[in-house]
Amino acid sequence: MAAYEHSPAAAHPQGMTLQRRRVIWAWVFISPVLLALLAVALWPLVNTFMTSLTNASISGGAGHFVGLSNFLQHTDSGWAGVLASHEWWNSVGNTALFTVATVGSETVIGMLLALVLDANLRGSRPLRAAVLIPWAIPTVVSSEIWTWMLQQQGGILNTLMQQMHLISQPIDWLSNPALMLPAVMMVDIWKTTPFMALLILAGLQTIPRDVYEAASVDGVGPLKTFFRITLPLVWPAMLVAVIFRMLDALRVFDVIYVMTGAVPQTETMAVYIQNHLVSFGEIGYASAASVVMFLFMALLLAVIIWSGRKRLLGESR
Amino acid sequence: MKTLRRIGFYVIALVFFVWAVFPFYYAVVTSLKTGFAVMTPSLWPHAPMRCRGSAFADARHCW
Repeated sequence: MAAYEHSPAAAHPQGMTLQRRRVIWAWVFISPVLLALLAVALWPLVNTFMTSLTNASISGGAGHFVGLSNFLQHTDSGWAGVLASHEWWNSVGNTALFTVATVGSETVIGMLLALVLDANLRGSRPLRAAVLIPWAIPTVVSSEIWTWMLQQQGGILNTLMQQMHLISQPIDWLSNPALMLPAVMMVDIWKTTPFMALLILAGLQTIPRDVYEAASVDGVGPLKTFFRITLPLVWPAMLVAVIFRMLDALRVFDVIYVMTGAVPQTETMAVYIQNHLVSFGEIGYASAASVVMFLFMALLLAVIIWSGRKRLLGESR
Repeated sequence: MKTLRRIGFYVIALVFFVWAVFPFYYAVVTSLKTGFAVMTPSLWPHAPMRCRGSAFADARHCW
C-alpha cells in the first residue's frame, strides 16, 4: 500500500501524489470542527483577554484601553490590580488547597471503590448503580441536600454523631471558619469520587488476567501485586481521570457558592471572578482575573501532562 | 484467609453503598414531611403524610 502510494503510478495527472491529496482532503473534512472550536473556544478567550485590557464596567459601559493596569499597576497608594490583590491570592490558596485535598482523596477512595467493583462480588451491580447517584444528582441540588444535612440545629449529621457519642455539642459546619472549607471539600469528594472510580475501573478491566495468574504462581503477595502490577498498568487511565478532575476542581464554583456564598474562608478563583463581575460590575478587572486563572490552569496542565508522559516513557522501558 | 478477605470486601462495599445513597435517601425522607416536622431529623418518616392531589398539596388536605 505504501509502495503504491509513493510509486509514480499513484501520482495525480496534475502532479499531485495520492498522499498529498489525502492530506488536503483531511484538512477539508476537519475544517468544520476547527472553525467550531475557534468560534466556541478561542474567540471567547481572545475576547476576554481584550476586555481585560480595558476598564469596562456594568455602570461605565465598554470602557477604554488601560493597558495591563487591571493586572498590576503602581499608584500613589501602592500596588494595585489582580496580582497585587490580597483577596485574589487568598482565593488562589483556597483553590490550590481545595484541588490538592479533593483530587488526592478522590484518587485514593476512587481506587478503593474501583477495586471493590472490579472484584465481581455478588451484588456488585446494585453497588455500581448506587455509586452513580452522587454523580447523577445536579451539583446545586446535592449541595442543598448537604447544606440541610450539615445544619447545626436539626441537621441529621450532628444528630447521628451525638447519638453515637462522637460529639457532645452540635458542630457548626458551615459557619465555623475552620470547618467551612473542609465541609465543602467533603461534599465535593462525595460527589465526584464515582467519576474517578469509574474511569479507574475502566483501566482496571483492561489489565489481562494472566498477569495476575503469573504473579499468583510466583507467590507474589496482594500488596506487591497491587503496587507492582495493578498501579503501573492502571496509571494511564488514572492520569486522565486526575487531569479531568484537577481541571474541574481548579474552576470550582457551584458547590462553594451554594453552600457558603462568597466568603474569604472558601472563596476560590471562580467565586472571586464571579463576585467582581456580577456583584461589583467590574468587567475589565474580572476579565483580567479570568486571564490569570486561565494561565495558571494552562501552566499546571502542561506540567502534569509533561511529567505524566515522562513517567509513562520511563515505565515502558 | 480468603473468607476474611471476602468479608472485608463486602464490608467496604456496604460502607460505599451507604455513603453514596444516604444523602439521597435523607432527601426523600425529608420530602415526606411537612411543617415543623422537617426540623426534626430522623432516619425515616414516623408517620408519612398522605395527601390528596400532588406532593405540593395543602397540608390541610393531609392526614
